[in-house]
Parts: sequence; C-alpha cells; structure tokens
Amino acid sequence: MNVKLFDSEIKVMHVLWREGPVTAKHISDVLKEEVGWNMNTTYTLIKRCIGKGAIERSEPNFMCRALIPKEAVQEAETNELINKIYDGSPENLFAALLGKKKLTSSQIRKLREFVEDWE
Amino acid sequence: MRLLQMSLSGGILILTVAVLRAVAMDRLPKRIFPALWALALARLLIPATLSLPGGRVPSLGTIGRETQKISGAVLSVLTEGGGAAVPAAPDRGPRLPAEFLLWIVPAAVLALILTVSWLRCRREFRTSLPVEDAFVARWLREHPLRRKVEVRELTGLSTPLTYGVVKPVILMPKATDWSSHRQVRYMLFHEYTHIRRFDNLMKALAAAALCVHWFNPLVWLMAALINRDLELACDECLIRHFGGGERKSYAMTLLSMEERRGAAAPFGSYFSKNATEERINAIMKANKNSLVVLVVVLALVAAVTVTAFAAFGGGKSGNDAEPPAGDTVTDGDKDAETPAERDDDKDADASVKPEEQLPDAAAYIGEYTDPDSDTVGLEIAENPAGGYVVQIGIYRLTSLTDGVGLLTSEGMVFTATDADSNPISGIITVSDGTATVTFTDSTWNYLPNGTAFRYVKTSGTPNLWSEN
Repeated sequence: MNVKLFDSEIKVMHVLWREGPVTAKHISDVLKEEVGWNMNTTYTLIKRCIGKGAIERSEPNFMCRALIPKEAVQEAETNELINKIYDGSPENLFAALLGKKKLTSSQIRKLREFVEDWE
Repeated sequence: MRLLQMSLSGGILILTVAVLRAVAMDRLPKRIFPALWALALARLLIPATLSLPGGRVPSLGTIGRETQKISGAVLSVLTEGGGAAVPAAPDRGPRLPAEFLLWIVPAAVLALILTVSWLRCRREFRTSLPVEDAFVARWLREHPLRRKVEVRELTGLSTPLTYGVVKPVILMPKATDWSSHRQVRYMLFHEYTHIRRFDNLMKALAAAALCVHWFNPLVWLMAALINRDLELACDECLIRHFGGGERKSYAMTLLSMEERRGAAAPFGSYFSKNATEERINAIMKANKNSLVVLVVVLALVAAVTVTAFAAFGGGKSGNDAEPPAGDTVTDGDKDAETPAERDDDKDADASVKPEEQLPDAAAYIGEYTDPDSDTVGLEIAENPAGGYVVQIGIYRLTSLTDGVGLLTSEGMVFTATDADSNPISGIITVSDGTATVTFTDSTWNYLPNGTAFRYVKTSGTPNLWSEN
C-alpha cells in the first residue's frame, strides 16, 4: 500500500472499519463524541481520505465506504515503525517487545507467524 | 492625518522599547516587555476620539477640509469593525480620496492574507486528537483556570503551541515522549502561562496593528519582537516557578525541540535559530536583574509614553515643556490646529497601568528568629553585585548558607545548596514582620516540597553568618 494516512485520518477510517459503510453525518456524530471534532473538521478529513483514495463516496446521503483494509494500514504503520525506530530491522522490534513485556505463548505464536509471513 | 500621528507616536514608543530591549535586556525582568508592547499597541490601535466621544464631533468642524475627509473615512473604517459607539463620520462614502484608497487597499489585502492563513492553521489544529495520559490529566486538575483548557496532540508539529483565547487548546507534537514527565511539565507550564496571560489575544492585536499600520516598518519590527518577548517572558515565569536549579534542563528541553524541528516544520514557526539562541541565553542568564536599571527604564518609558500619547493631540495644551518628539509629529502633519481637547487623565492612566509591582525590598532585608527555638534562623541581605543573599537555618536540621535571592512580584525566590550538595529552592514571603519560607523545589528527603517555616523579624540589619 502506498497511501500514507495521518493519525487523524486513520481515526476516520477506524469508524468505517468498525461499522462498515455509513453516512458522513454518522462518522461526524461518532467522532464528535469520541475525539471532540466538529462537523467541518470531520468532513475535511473525509475529503482528504477520498483524495487519497482511502474512502469512496456515494450518493445518497454521502455514504462512505473504506477502500483500504485495516490490515494494509496496520502493515504500513508497522513498517514505518520498524524503519524509523528500529533501524529497518524487525528483529530489533522483537527484541524490544520481548525485553519490555512478558508475552503469552499465544502472542509469541502469532508473532512467529507474522515473521514467517514477512519474507 | 490622525492615522499618521498615531503611527508616528506609536513608532516612537516602539523604537524606545526596541532600544531598551537591545541595551538592557539581560538586566530587566522579561515580563515588562509584553507590558511595554501593550502600551505601544494601545497607542497604535486606540484613536483618542474613541476615548472622548463627546469631544470629537465639534472638533471635526474645525479641522481643515482635506483632513476632515480623510480622517472621517479612516475613523469610520477603524471603528466599524470594533463596533465602538462612535457616530458615523459625517461624510464617508462617495468621496474617497486617493490617499485613503492607497491606505485601505493594502491594509485589506494584508488583513485577508493573515485571516486566511490563520483559518488554514486553525483547520489543521482542529484535526488534533485528545491526549489520554494520566500525568496530563492530573496536571490539568492541579492547574485550573476559569477557562477550560484542553491538551491534544497533532501529527507534524515539532513544538507545543496554544491556540484559541476563549477555549484555549494546548497542542502537543505527536512525537512527545509522555513518559518524560519533566519535559512534559515544562511544555505544559510554558503553554499554560501563555494562556493565563492572554498572549494569543496580544498576538491578534499585534496583527490588527500590522494591518492598520502596514506602512510603518517599526510596527513590523514590533510584531516580530512581540512574538519573541512573549516567549522570553514565559520562559522567565517558568524558571521562577521551577527554581533556577532547573534552568539547565529546561534549556536542554528547548534545544532538543530545536533539533527535532530541523527535520520538518510544516506550520511555519516564527522562531528563527537566532530567537532560540536568544531564549537559551536569557534562560541561563536569568536572575541578573538590577533594580536600578528597572527604575531608570520605567522612568524613561513613562516619559516617552506621556510624550507619545500627548503628541497625538497635537496639543499646545501640555502643562510641561513640550518634548521634541511631539513637535515633530505635529509639524509633520498639517493639522497642528487640532483642538487641544484630549484629556490628561486618560493619558496618565494608560502610562501607569501595565507596569509590574515588585514588593518593597526593605520589608525583606533583615534578621529573623525562629520563635519556637528562639535562635536566629533567617538572614536576608542585599548583594552589592545584584540580587540578595539568603541564609536559612532550620533548627536541629540544617542550615543553608549560600542562598541567592531574587525579588519577584510573588515574593523572594531563592536557590541554595542542600546538605547533599543538590540545588534546593523556594520562596520567602514577608508580611507584618513574619517571614514564611516555603521550599518549592527540593530533592532532599528531610525537606519535601511544600515544607514551610515561619520566622519573626528581629532586626532590619542582617548579620550574615560566615561560611566557615
């Protein structure tokens, strides 16, 4: 995926990922509650997401649908984290995770699968 | 023309403050600069006719015809936006002289540019996300204001900033290290001080002055210096609050933000490298204030202010010798015959208002006794090199002999070295001969922050204990 979404835009995407296609009005209501944005702010961000090809808009009622799956954004964000903070090495990220927190065996299994998929 | 007079006398004030700033910056409490700029802004933005609604109308009739046209139109424009209760100038509308168009067109363009860029920034700022951090939540509870303050974070910001006057929001960079409580505390306190002092309002007024006086280079200089001085004043307040012992780590915080900014600064920050350097220098040199310089400066500014405000009326009514500045202004303009109807009271008020009130040093200097143990416990002496020498003895606990004091509007702030050789600081307040010493920044286990001791003044002459 080569679309770079900022945190505020990802916040908008989260509503769509969670609830499926909804109206812009609904997104605005949810985010007003969650992060205190007014309608104009949310609409600005939806427009930006549309511009980046992350959201598709259809009439009537300004229905919004996510064009990018959650996993794609998560992967992009993880890649960025690894590149920026862990010097491009996933091993460093793992070392940090393992050093910092106790992981359950299921978490370790998931991580192992993730690494295997990586290459 | 009235506008030119306002601009000129305001310019004189700006020049005075700018020169003072260059010459005596290190020797003065930084807080007086925003106060002085407020004075200059008042001069630039308040036409005297607004303070005299009754006197203005007859005066118009006596001014030369040309001037009347211009000032009438200018005044109506100046007052329309503010909604001030001034009757509309008699002949605005159809007859717009060329000079007036020459002034209003660039002013309107500048106002449009500033408004649009402000709206753009605000739109960006509003996409910020709330910060859910226990430390921040606690900090906000501990620092209540009448206005509700919010802390949010925004991607792409390199330094914290505050927007909004009525509903202020502190925006923190996305990259903030929330686990570094010390740094977060500095950033929050700095922005909190901006909010408390309505600094954003002052910046808005400076922008308004810039639009009205766009032709005056001194006003542009002022706008730039106001931005810097508001930061310096906040830094000073922060150092005072946390104690001089923390100035180094605060300076390091600023430097690390400067480093990060090098990478990307999407929303233009008005601070050049130079300005950061100036801030760091000011932080490290704080506490060298000199009372003598302060008094001289305030006297000088008072004199210039009276001159500048008096010059406006173009008056021959001055009750003292007319200063040269006043003459230049009136000669430069054609309407020296403006009726001398301005009120001297108003001028005096304006020149006194924003100055800072320091407590009387004599009330602090002297020797104090601990009433419980009946031993000498506190000495405050003037340091010939500037500031004060503070010695504190706490019965059967410790004595701090190397205290350095600085008189502030809240009391005497001091910093000393504790028994573990760490810096320790606090504040002394004196009322009715009783001194209260409160430790505000201590790492020594036996004197936790907030510990306070009371001493009774026994002599006005300090008798310092020798170090050995």
